[in-house]
Amino acid sequence: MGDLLYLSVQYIRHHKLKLAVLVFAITLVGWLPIAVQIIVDQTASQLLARADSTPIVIGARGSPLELSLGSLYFSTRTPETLNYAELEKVAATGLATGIPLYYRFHSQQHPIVGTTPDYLDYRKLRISTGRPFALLGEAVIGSKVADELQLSVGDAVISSPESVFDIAGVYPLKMPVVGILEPAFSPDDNAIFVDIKTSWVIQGLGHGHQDLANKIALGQILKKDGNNLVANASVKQYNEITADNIDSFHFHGENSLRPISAIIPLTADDKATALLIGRYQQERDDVQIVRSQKVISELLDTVFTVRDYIVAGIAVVAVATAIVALLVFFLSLRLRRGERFTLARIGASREQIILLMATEVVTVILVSGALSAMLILLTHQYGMQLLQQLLLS
Amino acid sequence: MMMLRKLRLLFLLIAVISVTSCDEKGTDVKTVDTAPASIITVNYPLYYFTQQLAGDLATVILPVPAGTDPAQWNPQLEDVLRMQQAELIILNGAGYSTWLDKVSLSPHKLVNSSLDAKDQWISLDGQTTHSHGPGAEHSHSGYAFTTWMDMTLARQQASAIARALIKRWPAQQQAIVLRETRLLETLTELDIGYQQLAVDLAGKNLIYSHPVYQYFERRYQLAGESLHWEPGEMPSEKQWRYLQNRVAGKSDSLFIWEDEPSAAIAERMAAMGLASVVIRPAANTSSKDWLGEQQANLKRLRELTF
Repeated sequence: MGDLLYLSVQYIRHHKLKLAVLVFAITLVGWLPIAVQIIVDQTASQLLARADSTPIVIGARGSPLELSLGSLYFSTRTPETLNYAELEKVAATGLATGIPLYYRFHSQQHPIVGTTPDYLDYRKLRISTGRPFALLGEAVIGSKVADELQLSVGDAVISSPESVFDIAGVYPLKMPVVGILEPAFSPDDNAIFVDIKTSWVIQGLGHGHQDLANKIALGQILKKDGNNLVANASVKQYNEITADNIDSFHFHGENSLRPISAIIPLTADDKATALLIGRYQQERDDVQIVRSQKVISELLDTVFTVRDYIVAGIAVVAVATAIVALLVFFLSLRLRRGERFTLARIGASREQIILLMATEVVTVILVSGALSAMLILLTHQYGMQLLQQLLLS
Repeated sequence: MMMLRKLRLLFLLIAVISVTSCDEKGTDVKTVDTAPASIITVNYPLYYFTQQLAGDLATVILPVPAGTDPAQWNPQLEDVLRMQQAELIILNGAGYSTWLDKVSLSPHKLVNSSLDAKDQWISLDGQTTHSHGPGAEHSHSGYAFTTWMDMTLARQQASAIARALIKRWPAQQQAIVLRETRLLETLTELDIGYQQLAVDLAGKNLIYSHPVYQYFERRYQLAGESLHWEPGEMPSEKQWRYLQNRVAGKSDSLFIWEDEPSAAIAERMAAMGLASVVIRPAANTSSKDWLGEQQANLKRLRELTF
């Protein structure tokens, strides 16, 4: 037996390149279809978990998919908007209360989500350091934002201009970080949360400036017509809300006419959810109510279709690889005819010769199987992160 | 095309999920807060109404420090954090709490007690409008906010609070309705009392120390001129001269103070032969409860002699 083992090892050492190629090919064929399955399952499970926790969403008419993805993942850059008044309309149904979301703005690549303190409770987001946002202009950041931007409580985030060419647009708003969330392992980790009114200030719908009735600002008054003061554009507007200037911040017009991206309705039970959906679908043409689970499931159908195509392709490759491997083994056996003859002449039994010849096949299959299993485990643990790096690089 | 679009969205989505995902913490359980329920109110009348209506359902809080006008008060950070923990925040409406735009509160907790009577809010004229840069002209106009000095509006505010309490504690509906009935009866008695006394004051030359009686004037048909006199601050000679001219030759003049004037002011007014009376809106806490303050107003009006 020791002789056989010695001869087998020597054979493998001598043909290591050929065997390595075979092992690599068979490993890939064994790993790929299962890896695709794992990635798809993990994606589906995470998508559905988020959608399950947010079964319905209300937004402006448009793509239900973009509304769902925007309200669940804050992934839409310029969402269609609806009026804040819709929040009161939701409450007026008596079937639900709503949480407003306004996710139009960003700070670097991180979405700034304008909402109410209810959102943090709804998502069960806990503050690890600091406190929730309480005053206009304050921000609470997700754990990934804190890690990536190296921010802590007391630092500040600055809203990014929507366009670098918008030089006459709204000034970026500097917002103090008052709280950092515990990791939630969800898109909330990557977001910056502010009060809905702060997001309106970012948009320029509310602002703070010098008191025009103040003597210091007199030089900036173009004319006074009765009770109306007309100032020039040099009036100092504040780009940071502080304790000293917060009283000067104000909004123009009614809150009800200001924009939001979506509303997450909170219903007491499934019956209320069904009634709310029915009411919106029957009575409202200007807004849409979507079942996130249904929309995400439809998206997943696409994922599963793609997965099936990929798996089918891999299956064809697997068959081809198996045929090539068989051919390699067959040719190898033919090439080793002289070796078998020599072994027989020096006294090796028929069984010993078969065992020695089989060593090549068994070694390739065992090593490939072990490598495939290891890769599958790694995929299960780190597949999503690797995919992310691949997609973002 | 549709498929490609979905795939594009999908890849973006996977990127977003991947940035944040490991395991969705779906079973995370929030610690149950065992703190007693609290209701925040923004002035003394609302504090009184809510206390009467809520009974022992919750602790009713008026966070405004004594001696501060609740209409001028701005909450500090700790006040806002306390409001975030409250079950309900009872607001007066009519632009009373101007700080609302500067704090983060759940809209579902906010109860605008006079919203149903919005059509009865009195708009204030003479507000400065302004424009600057490319923005449109705008004003920071507002409404008179001492709504509770019209007892019919006070009744509506009390009913709005009762509805909010029932919505929050539906199992307590019967008890809340019972308490509401009692409170509404009390407010009706006050209304009748003011109406009866208003008959005697009708047609008199009324001067109010501050423009906080708009709803009172309208409800009880006691129109007068509002000045800006502080009870504890001696008016200037110019102000005294203005008052002198305003009451000259009118023996039926009556000066209505929102609080007890200082002795020096009262003496000088008496020397002018000008009658005065204190009608407290009682926006903030005092030694009496709000009902006691209103009954004291009625008592002073009854005792009034020209």
